[in-house]
Amino acid sequence: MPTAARTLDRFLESVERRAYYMARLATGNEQDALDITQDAMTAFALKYADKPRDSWKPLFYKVQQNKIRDWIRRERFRSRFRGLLGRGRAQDDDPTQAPDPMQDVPDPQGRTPEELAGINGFLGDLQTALATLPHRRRQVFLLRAWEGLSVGETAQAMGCSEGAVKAYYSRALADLRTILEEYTP
Amino acid sequence: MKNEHDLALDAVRARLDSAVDELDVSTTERLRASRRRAVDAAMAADRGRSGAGGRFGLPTFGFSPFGLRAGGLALATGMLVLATVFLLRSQPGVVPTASESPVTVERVDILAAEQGLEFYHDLEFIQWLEAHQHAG
Repeated sequence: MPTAARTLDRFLESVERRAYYMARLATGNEQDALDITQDAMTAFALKYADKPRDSWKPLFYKVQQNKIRDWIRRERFRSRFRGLLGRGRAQDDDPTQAPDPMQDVPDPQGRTPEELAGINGFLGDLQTALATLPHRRRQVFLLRAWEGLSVGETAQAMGCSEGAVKAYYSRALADLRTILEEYTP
Repeated sequence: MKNEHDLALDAVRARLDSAVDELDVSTTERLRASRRRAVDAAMAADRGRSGAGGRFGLPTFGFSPFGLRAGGLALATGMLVLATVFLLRSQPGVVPTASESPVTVERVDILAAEQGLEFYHDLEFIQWLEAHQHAG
C-alpha cells in the first residue's frame, strides 16, 4: 500500500471506533451508526485527504457531524409522519447561534432511558446518560472530553462558535453531574 | 495535580475506551471494510485527478477514465484540424478557392473559429460583390 494510503488508513483506523460509538449514541442503532461512519470515512477520504495531517481529526468529525445531522433531520421528518415525536423540546439555547433544530433532539426515536439501556446491553449507566443528552451537548462533550479536541477544533467540527462550544460543554457537564459524581474517586 | 473533576473525567474516558474496545467482531470487521472502501475511493479519485504518480503512488501516465474522455476528445479534435490545415497548405502552387474544393482552408478556419456562420455568409457576399465590381 502506498505511503499516503497507509497514512490515511491508519488515521481512519484510529478514529473509526470512536466515530462509530458517537454515531451509535446519536442514532441508537447499529446499522445506521455503521452507515454514517462509512459515509463519513468515504467523504472525508475523498474531500480532505490532501489536507495537512494535523487538521484531519476536526475535519473528519466535521464530516461525521454533518452525516449525523442529516440522519437526524431524516428521522425527524419520518417521525412527524409516524407521530412518534411528541416529546418536549429541550432547552439548549445558544446566545451566539441562530436556532438550530438539531440542538433540541434528545433522542430522535423518542426512546426512554430505560429503552436505551436495554439495547443489546450496549448502553450502561454512563452511555444512557450520554444518549439522553441533547445532541449538540453530547457531541461537544465527547469531542472535548474523549477525543481531546481543543475548543477551536471542536467548534470547527461542530460548525459553531467557540463560545457556543464552551456553553454546550458546561451544560453537558451540568447534565452529567450526577453520573460524574459516581465516577469521582 | 488533578482535582476530583478531572479524575472523574479520566474515569469517564476510560469507561468509553473500554466500551469501544468491547465492540463485537462483526462490527469491527464492518468498520474495517468501510475503511478499506474509503481508502480505495481516495486512491481511485487521486488517480483520476493526477497524472503520472498521484499522492497514493500509483502511476497512471495521464490516462484515467475521466481524463481520457475529456482531454482525449479535445486533443483528437485539435489534431484533426491541424492535420487538415497542414495538408491543404502543403500542396505547392495550389490555392484552394471556395468554388474549387469542397474542403478549403477558409472553411476549416470557419469550423475552427467561434464566429457565427452569418458572419461568414456576409463575408462571401462581400467577396462576391468586390469581384463583380473589379470585373465591372
